[in-house]
Amino acid sequence: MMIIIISIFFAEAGIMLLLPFFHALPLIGEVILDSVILIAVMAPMLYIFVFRPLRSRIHEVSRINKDLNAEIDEHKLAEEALKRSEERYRLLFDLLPYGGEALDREGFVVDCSIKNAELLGYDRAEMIGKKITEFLSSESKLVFQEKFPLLRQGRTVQAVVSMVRKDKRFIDVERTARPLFDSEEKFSGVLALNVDITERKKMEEELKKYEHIVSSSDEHMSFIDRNYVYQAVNDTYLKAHNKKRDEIIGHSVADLLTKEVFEEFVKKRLDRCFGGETVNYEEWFNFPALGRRYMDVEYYPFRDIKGIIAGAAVVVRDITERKEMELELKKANEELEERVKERTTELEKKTIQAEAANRAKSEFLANMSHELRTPLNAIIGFSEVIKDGMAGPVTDEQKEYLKDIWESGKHLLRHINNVIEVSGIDYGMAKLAITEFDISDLIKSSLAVFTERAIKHNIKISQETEFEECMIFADMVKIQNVIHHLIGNALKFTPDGGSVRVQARLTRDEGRETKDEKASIVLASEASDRPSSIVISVADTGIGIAPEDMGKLFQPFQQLEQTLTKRYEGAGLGLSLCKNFVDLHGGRIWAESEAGKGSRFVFAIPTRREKING
Amino acid sequence: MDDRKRVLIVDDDSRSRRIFEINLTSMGYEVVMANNGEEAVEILAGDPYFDLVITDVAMPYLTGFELSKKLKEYTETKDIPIIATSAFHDWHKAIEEHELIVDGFIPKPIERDTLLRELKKVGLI
Repeated sequence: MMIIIISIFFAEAGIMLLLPFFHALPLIGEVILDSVILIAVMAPMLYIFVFRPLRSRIHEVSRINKDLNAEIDEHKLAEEALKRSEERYRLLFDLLPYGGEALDREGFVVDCSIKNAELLGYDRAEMIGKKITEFLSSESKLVFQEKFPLLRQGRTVQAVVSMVRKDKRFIDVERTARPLFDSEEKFSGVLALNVDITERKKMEEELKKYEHIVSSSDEHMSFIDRNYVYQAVNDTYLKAHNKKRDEIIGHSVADLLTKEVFEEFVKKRLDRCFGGETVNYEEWFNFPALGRRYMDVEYYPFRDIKGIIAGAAVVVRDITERKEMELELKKANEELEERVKERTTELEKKTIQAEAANRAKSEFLANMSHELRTPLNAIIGFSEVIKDGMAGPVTDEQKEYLKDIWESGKHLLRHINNVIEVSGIDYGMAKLAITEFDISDLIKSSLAVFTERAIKHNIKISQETEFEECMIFADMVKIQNVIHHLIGNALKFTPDGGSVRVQARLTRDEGRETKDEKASIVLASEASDRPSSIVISVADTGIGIAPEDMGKLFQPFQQLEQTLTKRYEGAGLGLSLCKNFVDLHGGRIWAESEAGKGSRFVFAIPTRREKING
Repeated sequence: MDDRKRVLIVDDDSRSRRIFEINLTSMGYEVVMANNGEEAVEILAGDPYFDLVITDVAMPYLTGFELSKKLKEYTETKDIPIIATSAFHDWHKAIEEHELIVDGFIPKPIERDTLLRELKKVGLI
């Protein structure tokens, strides 16, 4: 509502006239002079007074005032919110695991997070105000120069740079930078996030090495998850199966190896592996690219960070060659065993045959011996009694012939005995028959046997013993045999006019331990002051023995020189038999000789104090 | 009564018996002969007064081993020395195996030297 009063006044005085009116205005209502429009037209002036009711005017003012206050409050709140927000962002900025920094449009640091300062080993304050290039390696400075213009153009830039720490150490940092623009859309700076990837890079390099090892390995490697699905394989694996990576990864083992193979060889073992066991086995497998190969397979349980078994790392090694060699070896071994078996059977058969033959031979010998001795008994026994006139008178001529018969018979007997003894001894049949006798007497009677022969060849034979009588325990027949052999040999190889001497003496050291167990017990019990051995030697002035022949002397069927064999009778059994007899007594026999000057055969046997058998 | 020493020869081989007989008789012994062990036992049962028994080892009916064992069993004969004789070359083995207790041994063929040696051993010379 508006009240317009139009008045024309000719002078100012007119105004004065109106004043009381104006004062009265409130009486007519709360109005207020809103404006006075003065139009001057010469003297009289036209005044137009415009009034507005007072009430509406106040109302308006208070509204405006209220609005204003609300606006102020709002502003204050906004300011506070902003402040809080900024604080929050600052906190966030500092708490970020990455380094954050703000650069101005020239690349100087205007702000940086604590983390960022820590990353480079500085205090935050030290960094602010420095140009960012100060923290970059010389190479990375180039990167900066290249990338900064891009930022100016409004682009977000990401780069891996090498930054230099305060302690001069280099760190690898992945930088993500975003340009900032002011309200006028002008480039005002950069906000950058720095992530230290030094460790990550190191790990990546390590991983690369492992990758290299895995991919270049001859072993087939794979990773199979708990659903029997391939998660990873190496190149060797791919090659063996003639497949591309995506044809294996994500596919199940059963798909690749066939369901049969999976069920038969793989599944149960993988399950054991998933149970935490390292499983190892060897098996033949068919490979598309390799054919049938013998593989050494190992399943290692793979645990994730939480320790739960996530699958199996599988390493498969081709050991076909080794296996083939083993099989070859086994085969060879079996063949060898088979051959050994055959041989053993053969040998056993032969041994049985040999034993049978030996038994047959022994029986034959025993029988033959008996059969030969029986007629010889008549020849020797009767010729002896007749020649000595016990069966009536005989002429000298008859006596001579009878003696020849008797001696020939005895000669034949000696040969038979030798053959029997050698055969017997060879098969371990020889045993001692120990009796007590006078060795002196034995030597005497032995010499007597050869007296006639010695006289015939004009060979002087003599006995030199240190004692009159000496009773010893030994196998008299065998000792007599030895003495007879030695004297006989001496005479045989001594030319006419030579000499043969038989010596005997007692000693304490010449004997050797006897082979006869019973005898050795007796020996051990002997008093130490008693002579332990008797040494008997037969020396001749014969042809002697060459040193190179010494070793052959006591071997069977050895008679020195073929010429000698013809000149001197004998089968060459004598000395080997002598050695056997002496050995049986636990004694030893040896020869001393100078070729051309004669030889001396010596044997020593332990003396015994008691009769052992019977 | 005759004071000659008495010897009983036991042998199934007549030639052996004869050779022993001639030798021993010429040495002055009274000799009685038996063809085998049984005969010897019969003789000894009626007349045990012998100074020596010479017996072959292998004989039919009663071997020398059995005979010698029997002789050692009886008081009348247990002190008579026994000399064994044999043509088997491994007689000593046989003696050991059969635990034959004999006082001497004369291998065949019989030689006077051996006979004398054994007679000496058993104290008859």
